Amino acid sequence: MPSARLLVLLWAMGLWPALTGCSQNLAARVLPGADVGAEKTYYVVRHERDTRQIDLVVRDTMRAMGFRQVTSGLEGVMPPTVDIVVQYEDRWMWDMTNYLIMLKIQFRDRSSNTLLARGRSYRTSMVRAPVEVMVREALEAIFLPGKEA
Amino acid sequence: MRTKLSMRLLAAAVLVSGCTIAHQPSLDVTAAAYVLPSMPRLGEAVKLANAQADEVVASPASSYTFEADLRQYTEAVLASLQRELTRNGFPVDPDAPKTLQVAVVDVEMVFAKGFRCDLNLTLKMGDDVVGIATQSASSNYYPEAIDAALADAVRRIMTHAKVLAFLAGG
Repeated sequence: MPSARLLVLLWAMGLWPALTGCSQNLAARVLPGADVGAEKTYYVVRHERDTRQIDLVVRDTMRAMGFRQVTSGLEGVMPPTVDIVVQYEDRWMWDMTNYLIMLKIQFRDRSSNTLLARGRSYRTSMVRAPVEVMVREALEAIFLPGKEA
Repeated sequence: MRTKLSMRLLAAAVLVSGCTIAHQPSLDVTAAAYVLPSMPRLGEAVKLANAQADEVVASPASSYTFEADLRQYTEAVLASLQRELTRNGFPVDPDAPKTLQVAVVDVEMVFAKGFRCDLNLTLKMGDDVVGIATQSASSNYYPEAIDAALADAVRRIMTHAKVLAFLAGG
């Protein structure tokens, strides 16, 4: 007959991965008074450690959502006419294969660096999704709130 | 024995199921280490003002939802900032004509290899507006992550070129 302590341990070992292994959430916020309309010009900044060119995915997804004036590239070659800088953070984990656990996208006013809007998609291993899906989720959470519901 | 086991199972269930955390930020956080450039001190006094309205923002992280009162977070930044300004020879006076308006406009708790608290601030100095974003270390213990973010925010304010120019009388 196993002891109570062992039962708790076995229960926790089984339930914890089952619950946390399929965690998924979206978070987004547009700050009060922020103007992130389609008439603005956007520049998606590729961070220097990004070898996957996620900036291109963000750019193309934004264009598909109706933002016509979106370009991307390294920070040093940002055009002077840009209104809003788009930054992203990608966090990767290993579980059999490499997968994107979190993608965070931020929109900042180019001249003041103030935050205008942010969106985030978080998916653990068992509900992992391609970069394209998580980019779309994060952007839709900002610009099309309620669509994911 | 069975009752004890049930209690443990219940506690574990509460732990792993989603719950909301509303953390009161500490007013005693010390700024992260920084070095000030050589510049004139003990000039015109500055008034610090909380420019953030009452607003609570929520962010999901891991199986929790963190709620942050933006005005409280701004108060925490201001408390630490006032100590740093005074310590470095910049007089702070609530009646000073020159005002530095500070607002923590966003607090987001993220979870990836630990908790990390991301703060966004807006500073107003006359007509000039500056946005500051923290990049602090993550921690397995969320209050530590919040303290680290507050400490980083104050460090970034104290070393921002526009803030230093404003303090020096620019």
